[in-house]
Amino acid sequence: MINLKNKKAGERVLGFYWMIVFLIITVGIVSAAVLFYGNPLDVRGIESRILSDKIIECIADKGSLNETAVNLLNADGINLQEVCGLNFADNYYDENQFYAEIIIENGKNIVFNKEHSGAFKDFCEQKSRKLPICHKEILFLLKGNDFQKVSILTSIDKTEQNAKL
Amino acid sequence: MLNYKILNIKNKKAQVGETLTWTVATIAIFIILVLFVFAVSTLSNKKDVVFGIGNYITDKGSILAEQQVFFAILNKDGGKIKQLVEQGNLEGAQTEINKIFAEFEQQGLKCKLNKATLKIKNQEIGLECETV
Repeated sequence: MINLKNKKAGERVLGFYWMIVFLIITVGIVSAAVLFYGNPLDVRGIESRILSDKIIECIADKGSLNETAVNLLNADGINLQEVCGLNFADNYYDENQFYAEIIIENGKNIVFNKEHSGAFKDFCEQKSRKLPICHKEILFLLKGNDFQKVSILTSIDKTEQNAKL
Repeated sequence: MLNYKILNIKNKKAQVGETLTWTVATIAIFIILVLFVFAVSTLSNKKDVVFGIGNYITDKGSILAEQQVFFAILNKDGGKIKQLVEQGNLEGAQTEINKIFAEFEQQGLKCKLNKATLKIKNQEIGLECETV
């Protein structure tokens, strides 16, 4: 009888510890889940690459420079959106969130330079998730029989949607 | 009575031992969970699709860009390199391609032949590039 009573008491004491252990584990797992899923997933890196790929599709054709598109881009009053069929509008923001720049060089001479609005370029060298994410692509395309260096810089801001401020 | 007392003391010792085990276990679990939460917190700050250096996501060229560069190389000089590949003269083609790669590298694009992305007359050939 005495033994039985002692065992019961022991279980009660252990029961209290079990409660604490369960509580700690629950708080730990819940707080980890909240922390992890509370932070937004940053997709700007992929987005800037996709934008860069869209521009490549627009200005390159089987390894050659698409001169029709480049000539159109050179014309005044025509922007990248119209020539390449891009849409830079964003339902979430009023201000422009995209930046794109195309530079075509023949040797050391810049023969073409087109910029889409936005002043994000200066932020690219800095390291912070609260700043726009950039992607730079360099490729060589044929114009006639000469290689032309094409540099494409794309940058996406959308900081509020992609990074915890 | 004496026997009971002895029995009691023995039982208490067992209880104390078990409780002590769980107290230590609780502390251990607590520490493990704190480390777990800390690791998750660190990882959650780096949650993005592509990890990179600075705010430039990566120096590696996109597949589309590599493909266009490769087409440009194959079509240069009236498709001279393409013809070499078609004839099965991969060494000759590689020599020509390496000359072009050296030219590209001076202008900021480092390429190398190593990835089979194209099949020209049973010859598998490809390239990958990164900005330098």
